[in-house]
Amino acid sequence: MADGRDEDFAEFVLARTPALLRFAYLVTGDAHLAEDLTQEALVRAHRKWSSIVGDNGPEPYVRKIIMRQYLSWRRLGSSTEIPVAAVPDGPARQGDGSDVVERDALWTMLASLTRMQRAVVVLRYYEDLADEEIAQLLGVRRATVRVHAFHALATLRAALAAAPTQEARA
Amino acid sequence: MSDSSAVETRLRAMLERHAGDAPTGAGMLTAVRHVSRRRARRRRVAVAGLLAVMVCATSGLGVAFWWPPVGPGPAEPAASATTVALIAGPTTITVPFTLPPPDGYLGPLVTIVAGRPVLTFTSEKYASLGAITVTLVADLAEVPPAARSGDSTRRDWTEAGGDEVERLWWLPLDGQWLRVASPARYPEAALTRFRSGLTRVPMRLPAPMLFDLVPEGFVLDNLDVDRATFCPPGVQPGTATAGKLVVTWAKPRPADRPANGQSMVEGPTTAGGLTTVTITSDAGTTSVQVPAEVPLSAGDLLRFAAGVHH
Repeated sequence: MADGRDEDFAEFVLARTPALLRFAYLVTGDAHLAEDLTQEALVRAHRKWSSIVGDNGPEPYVRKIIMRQYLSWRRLGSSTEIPVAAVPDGPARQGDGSDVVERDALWTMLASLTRMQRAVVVLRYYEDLADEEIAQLLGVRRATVRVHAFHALATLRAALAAAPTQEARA
Repeated sequence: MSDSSAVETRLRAMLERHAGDAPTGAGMLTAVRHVSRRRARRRRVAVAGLLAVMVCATSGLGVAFWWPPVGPGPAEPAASATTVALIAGPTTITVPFTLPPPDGYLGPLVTIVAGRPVLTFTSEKYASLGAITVTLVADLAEVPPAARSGDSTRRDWTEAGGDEVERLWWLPLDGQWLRVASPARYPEAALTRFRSGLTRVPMRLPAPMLFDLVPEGFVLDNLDVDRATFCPPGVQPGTATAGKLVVTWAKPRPADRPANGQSMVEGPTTAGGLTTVTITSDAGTTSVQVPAEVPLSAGDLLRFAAGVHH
């Protein structure tokens, strides 16, 4: 890659990686998987940089790759990592932990959705994309997006009704 | 407010909250460049190999890759249950903690020494002082009793190291210990802020040397930009190289650079109980040495060596 294009790419990665990771993390619910998917999408973008820098910029391409990987992902093993020492059991401590338990109720419920439903939820309610844009990103029809959104909200509403005390404190 | 809009409102708020828990992406650009270069190199090697086969098949002309047909090279062992297989290699190193860089420092760069990660933070601002290193201690006996019994996060003592005086700190990490070595003239308040940033969240960092393929069951116990060792099953991790698969890398001298951007392969050859293969390309010279008794076929040894890069 020529120096100028490489600088453009580096600038894009440095500027947009945090946003791409937030997007990937909300879609997957897994920090390491989010890093894997984002890294892979950026590697592919790096290779095709000249052809994807169009009027809309490279970001839609990168997000599309993240989404498609996520929707087709089965199980990424740990073969891409070098574990060098025992990882401590349990999650990191943040405060006394009680705040995490309370605010995680709806987050946990999100995990019960199908991947397509979860993707639609994140794109609609975090990225604030219109259904038409979501449909383009996911490669489906707009009506399909609306169906997924409807079922996702119905599932979450039912789950919240079943566990009102937990989420009410969130 | 209807049920639907109430759920939507809560969804927006929850997603906004959790977005802050996403990883920061420190080191992403480096990792992406590493992987991208590795794949580009793999494509070039694959294309070169395909061309070599085609040229050999059609005209018998010589090609840049050469494989000694006879002589000192080891015989290809027959496939058996004991033959070591190659599996996909690692691209990152996961350490079981997170430490943001100290004020004025960059990094960390991660290496592995005797099976333990060592993080090195470097600085232009404090270049005259030197680096700050963090080592996951392998043996509890290395931790001074005073640090183990008292408030172990306080400064423990200083020790002489040439003209510089090094300051050592010992940080507990769930039954393990981190040894932090810093220049004594680095501001103590900044060092205190640095150590207070320690969390138990595992952190993934780009490996200083990359391997497309690694022998299955071998343990990577030493890794730096120019050297790596893998322990075959039964060999204990440590700093010694005896009995291990050893990889060394160096920038090629101009005279050694192969023509036409192709790679040159020497070996495998066996002498003194060691089998060696060397690959030289524009990017560098990679040498791999393995005890002859390790059941790694000559073909796999070449594939392993061809997959080593930065």
